[in-house]
Amino acid sequence: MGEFRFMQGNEAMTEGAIAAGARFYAGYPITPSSEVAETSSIRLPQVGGLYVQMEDEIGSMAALIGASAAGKKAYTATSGPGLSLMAENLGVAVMGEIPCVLIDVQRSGPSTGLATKPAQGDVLQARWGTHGDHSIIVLSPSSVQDCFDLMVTAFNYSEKYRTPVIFLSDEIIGHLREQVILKSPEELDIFERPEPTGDPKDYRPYDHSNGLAPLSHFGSPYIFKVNGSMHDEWGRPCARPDNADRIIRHLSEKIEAHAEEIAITRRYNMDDAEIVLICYGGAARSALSAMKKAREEGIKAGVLQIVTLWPVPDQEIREAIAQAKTVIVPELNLGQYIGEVEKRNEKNIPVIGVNRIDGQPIVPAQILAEVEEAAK
Amino acid sequence: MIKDYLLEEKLPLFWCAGCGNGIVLQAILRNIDKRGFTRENTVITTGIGCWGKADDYVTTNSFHGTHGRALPFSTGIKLANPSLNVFTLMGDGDGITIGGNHLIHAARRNVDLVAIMVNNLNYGMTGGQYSGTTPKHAITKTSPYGHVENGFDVCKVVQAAGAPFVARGTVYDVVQLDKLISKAIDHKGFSFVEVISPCPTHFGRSNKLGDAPKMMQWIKDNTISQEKAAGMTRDELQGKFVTGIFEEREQEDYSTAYQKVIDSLRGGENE
Amino acid sequence: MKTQKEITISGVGGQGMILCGTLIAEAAAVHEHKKATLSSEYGVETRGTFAKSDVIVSDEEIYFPDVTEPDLVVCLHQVAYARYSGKIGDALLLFNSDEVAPDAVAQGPQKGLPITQMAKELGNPQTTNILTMGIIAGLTKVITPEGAKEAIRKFFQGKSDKVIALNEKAFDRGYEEGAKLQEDAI
Repeated sequence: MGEFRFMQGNEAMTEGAIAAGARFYAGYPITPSSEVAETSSIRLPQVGGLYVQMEDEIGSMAALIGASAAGKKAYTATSGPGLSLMAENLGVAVMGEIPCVLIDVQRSGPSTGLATKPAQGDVLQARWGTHGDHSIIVLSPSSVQDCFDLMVTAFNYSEKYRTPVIFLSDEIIGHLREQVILKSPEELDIFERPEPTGDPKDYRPYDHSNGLAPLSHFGSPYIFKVNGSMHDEWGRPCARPDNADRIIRHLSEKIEAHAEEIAITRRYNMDDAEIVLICYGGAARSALSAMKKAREEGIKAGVLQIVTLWPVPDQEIREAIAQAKTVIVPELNLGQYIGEVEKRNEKNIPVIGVNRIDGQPIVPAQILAEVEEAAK
Repeated sequence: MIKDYLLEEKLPLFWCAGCGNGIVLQAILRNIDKRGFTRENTVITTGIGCWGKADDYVTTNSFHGTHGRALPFSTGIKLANPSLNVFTLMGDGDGITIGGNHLIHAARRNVDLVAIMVNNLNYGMTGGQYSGTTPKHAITKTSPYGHVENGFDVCKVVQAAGAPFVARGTVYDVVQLDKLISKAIDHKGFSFVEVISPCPTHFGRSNKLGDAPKMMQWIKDNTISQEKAAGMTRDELQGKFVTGIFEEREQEDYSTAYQKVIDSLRGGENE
Repeated sequence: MKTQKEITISGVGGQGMILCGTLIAEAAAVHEHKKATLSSEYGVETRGTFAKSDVIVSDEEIYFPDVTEPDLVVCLHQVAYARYSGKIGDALLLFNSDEVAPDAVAQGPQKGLPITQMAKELGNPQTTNILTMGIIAGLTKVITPEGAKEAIRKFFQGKSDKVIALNEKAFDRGYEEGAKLQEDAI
């Protein structure tokens, strides 16, 4: 049995990370994510873990990756300005295939923007924030319960696919307080990093010819090299064109080929829905409220909530478009995820964005007005 | 055997003839060997640049990250597993220029690791542009009319930032260098060694310091022991490399201090 | 029939609105087994600019966590009063008359209580937020005094018995005033 608590989203993320087995946090406090740092500094030493506050987000991301390479599940939390700094070493985690979880509690940007106000402006930066071709997993919570449960999923995906995972929250969910059940360890499925087997001399951490190679940790008999530069199966530098081609394709395909497995979506009143709201994160709650009111008015509205933003849940979005007369995409940005919907709109139905960028949440009435208009 | 730590199939070293990097790498591996550190319990982290390629040649665990970030990578590695022997190799670009902020905070944070900064007074790998240690008036690819800025005295910076062990040597005096690295390893806490090393290909050529042997001579001629430097004026010390141990004191390292926090909360119980 | 109660507690940063709202929502969720949310809005300054917390208590799932159809708006500062006065329809606007000078002709129902003075009379002006919590509970009945006090005791856990007793007393004092207001309304 879990523990019933009334808790803030940011705080539940810390609990989720610890439940997932995370024992290392390196970060730099920033609004509206600082409660993750604060609660981590309290909770981690209680469970034998370690919190370290670095000099900036560049160093934070580096320490995180170092700790993970040394065998600890590790996480950090930031917001837009910090994400921009973390983008550099996020690339090292991608290239070195080092698991870690980066929480971004989105606030209004660009630059310092509106530090305390919600936004969902980092959706594309989460996907492409670090340079070069790669793929990445991005999860978006919409409740305090998600902050706990999905955080466990984030660590599981990170370890399973040897990739950084971005936990893309927003100020609405990060600072929301509501009930949450902190599940007990026996109720959780935790994916542990598989240890290499066989002769340590033959250990090749980047030989993925037989599925993803297990990642060892520094200090084990399996010595290894992490290399942010292009490398061969051993992690040694290698500039051969065929090797570069192999590595870059692998970094993308190891995630994209498992997109359906990684995809998490939620369907609300979708069975007969003609007007479909495709949404995520804090804005999903506005959409759900609008959907409920629309149903009270007799409008066949439904919600497809995208929890795994990247890789894109292709099938689920295509199915929603197939059944819909109109798709509405509410986002706290000028339309970042709507592009993914439009890409799949072969039926050429109306795809309408409801966008808000003034630092205020989208109120359900804004979405309802579009739903009512579409239902005419 | 030092050879046990060298990845022979990667030899010969790619560094230019007359470069000091090979001398420093040898001194480090000699000391690792002398202590019997295993390849399994040793991690060498590097930055980017000529010296940042050092990890290519070692058989220990290694981490080749991003420019200037070797210290924060090492911080995470060491804090996650304090039983590892962590060596952080940086150039002057990594160490004090792009990574200067990490360096001063690492000195203050006092994580138990050895940081070795090879200072060749310019960016060698990218063709000889100026760095944070390039002296005033020096000619580089980006200071073609003479450098208008002053270079850092890196040891003073690290000392001021609170590191418990700070030393400087040169690749000319290998006996001294061996000793400094040895002491740095034995010292618990953040131990910093700066090594003055020639870049005959770029810095030497741009400043007409002659070929590799002449540049080695130039380093020798401009090196002054700490004892001798004590009696000299600031002007007299201009352009000189002062060598020796500038700081050597006991100070509780990060992991020890943090473990006390954990123990106080858990009554000694650990996972 | 609306099964959802929506309450806004507004003022300027530093007046303890988030604690007040959190304890109400927590008591509703943990002790009354209702659905409850607390969302807040604040500025970059820790003190002095407009801030509010929105409490929603419901028998059903709460989706949008901000107050859109308020049942009660509490204003603890002039800045907050200026934002809400005349703009919340039939909902009751309750203000701290020690901090707020109300409009000469106010639209919609409004009521002032000398909350600061009441807190001072209890012996500590810092009890304003718990006193406000009591007023809201007495007025709206979204939580019971028992549940509220459990939440208060949990929050002040580790503090002296004196502090806990003072805050419980502040709640009771507020609850009494709130209940009176409700009777007046009927």
